[in-house]
Amino acid sequence: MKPLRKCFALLLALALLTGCASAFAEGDVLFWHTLEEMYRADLGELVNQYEHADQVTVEYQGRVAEILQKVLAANVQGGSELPSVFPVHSSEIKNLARDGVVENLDPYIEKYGTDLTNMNMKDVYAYEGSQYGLTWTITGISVFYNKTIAEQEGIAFPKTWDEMDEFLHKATKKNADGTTARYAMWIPGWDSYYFTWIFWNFGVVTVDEEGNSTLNSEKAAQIVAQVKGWIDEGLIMWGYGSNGSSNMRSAFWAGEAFAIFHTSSQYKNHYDNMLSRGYEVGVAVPPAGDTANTTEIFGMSLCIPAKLDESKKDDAYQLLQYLCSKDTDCAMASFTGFLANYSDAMETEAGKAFLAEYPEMANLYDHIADMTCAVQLPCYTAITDVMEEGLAQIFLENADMQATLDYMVDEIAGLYEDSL
Amino acid sequence: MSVGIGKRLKARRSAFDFLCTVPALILFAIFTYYPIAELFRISLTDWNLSRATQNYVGLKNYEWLFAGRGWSQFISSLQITGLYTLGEVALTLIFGLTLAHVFDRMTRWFNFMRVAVIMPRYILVSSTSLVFMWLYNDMYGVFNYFLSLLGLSPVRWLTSRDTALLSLILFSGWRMGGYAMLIYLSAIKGISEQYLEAAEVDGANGWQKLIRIKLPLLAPTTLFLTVTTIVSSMKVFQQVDILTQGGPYKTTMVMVYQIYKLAFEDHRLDRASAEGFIFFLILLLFTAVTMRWSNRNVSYDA
Repeated sequence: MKPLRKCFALLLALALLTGCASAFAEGDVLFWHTLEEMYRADLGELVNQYEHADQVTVEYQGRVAEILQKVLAANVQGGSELPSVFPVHSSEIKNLARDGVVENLDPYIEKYGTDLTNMNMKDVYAYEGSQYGLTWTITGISVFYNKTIAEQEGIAFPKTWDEMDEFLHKATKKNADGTTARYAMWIPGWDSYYFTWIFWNFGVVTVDEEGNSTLNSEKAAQIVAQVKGWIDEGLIMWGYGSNGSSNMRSAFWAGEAFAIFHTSSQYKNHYDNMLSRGYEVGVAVPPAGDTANTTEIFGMSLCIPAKLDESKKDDAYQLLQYLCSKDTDCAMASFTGFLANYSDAMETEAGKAFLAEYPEMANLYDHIADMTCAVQLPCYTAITDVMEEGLAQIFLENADMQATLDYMVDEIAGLYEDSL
Repeated sequence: MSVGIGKRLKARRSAFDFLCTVPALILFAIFTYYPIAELFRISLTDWNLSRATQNYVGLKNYEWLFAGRGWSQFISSLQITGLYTLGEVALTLIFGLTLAHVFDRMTRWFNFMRVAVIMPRYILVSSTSLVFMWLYNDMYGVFNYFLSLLGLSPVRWLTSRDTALLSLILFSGWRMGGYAMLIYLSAIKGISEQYLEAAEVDGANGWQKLIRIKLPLLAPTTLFLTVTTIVSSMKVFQQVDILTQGGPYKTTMVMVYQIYKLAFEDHRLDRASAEGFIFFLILLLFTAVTMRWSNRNVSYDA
């Protein structure tokens, strides 16, 4: 019996050791991401092309805000549950860098000689002169319009605000009873980044780094009144509330909205859905105002948690560097609709092939340099709530315009004071 | 001598009884009392979720809540929570009682229908909320389709300040009505036939029997349902998160959702804890007052 027992013990020990060894070999670098289901297979392919792919575990962990909650919770627990690499939204990075949640990447950038020369938005992910994240995804607020209808009816999307009125009347279709059968424009009022361009292009400050806002200025009131007039006339739909996004998509795909404002990352989604209904999608940037021709841009960087086990940080950075490299990111842009993270990415072979397949996206790439990032404040989410609610009250509930704009400015100042 | 033995036996039995409750007390201490104590402790700090450090700041968060910017939000959320609770309790009781009378038939078909009515209570709130999100859709929803068949204008169920809270209440009433029916049904079965027969002899009709006999005898059940529904509806969260996210214009910003936003969107765990602790005290006070009142005023003799 004794030799048999020894054999059994030896086998058990070997099995355990093999199990442990394989556990260490696989999944040492845990990568949390936010990509929707339709992109995950392609992302998996990209990771598989990484030279240490066998060490990487890829996990979808919800939207970027949910991932942040999980990282912060893991931080509180001591850091043992932290991922090696995770995405951080451009509006959050400075707060996280200040509070020591994310790792300073400068030593790794130097060690591995990462070239950031042409990386878009890299300054957004820097804090006090150090880099805390590398640009992974970029999305700009874009206009998607029904190119098929535009060609059939000779409608051109306006390049400037002055051309808006004529465009809106031409692109709108009314029913016999006066209701709108097709809106010329659908502006999503549920997220501020879809409409900040309206103000920024006229020099109106939505909020600056000191909490100041000129949303109640004469200029702002003039623009808001104009938009309100178009909404009341049934030319523009101001989307708001829980069903806003799904309604806008359905209306656009059904030909009930000529143009919509959406993030560039939704391009492929609209492209495929419109194609299946016999429509082509045109891409444009929002109309220019009298002082600027910009639109809001934001995105995600990839970061390493500061509390991650020191022995894992090098491996984490190598994966991060691979995912944010020009070629990898260009490949990701081609299957998602995110904008490539290097300004010269479209000059590469992969970039040229992408633009040859989706020529409309060139309209966005031509304007990346003009796009603007919103200011980073700890209370920015609450401030955007104020803007979204205030404008919806004016546009949809007929609230007193000037009083509401004044209230919004006071609230923004109050929120800023409260966050100090 | 025998008195001494009796006393010792009684003491031993009491000690044994107490020991039997110890496991439950330990669980209570870990999962209920400790979190409450911890909630209060955090409310006295400046803990921001993204910062590793927590500094003691005394009553600063309570000052923010009662004398600062937090006050208007707190009062508004409390009012909305109160309105929501009132609506859900009323709808649940009316719906439950009505269904209990309709379904008080012990046939196979009625058994099946009872199960169908109770079912929503046991399906995930998140799943049913998603279904209702589409039913309530102002452009493509089923409810507005039916309204259009009647020649009525569409309603912005979830996006209008006038209807959003009502839509949430209707959803919750639909979820909870079947459960209330089940409780009422078992209570109705417990009412002695003698009372109803005596009333019939006196010439009482169905409505009179309901109002004069059944409802008073169902008072303990009504009280039970009222208290449990109030406590659960004051903690409403999931349907708000999915259907309205506190909007439009904060008209559905109930207390728990407001606390969640403070903690996990603004990362202000300190302020969220202060608000959470005060809310806990409000619930505690309410439950204590209700139980005391019911002990004095409700008859349990059926």
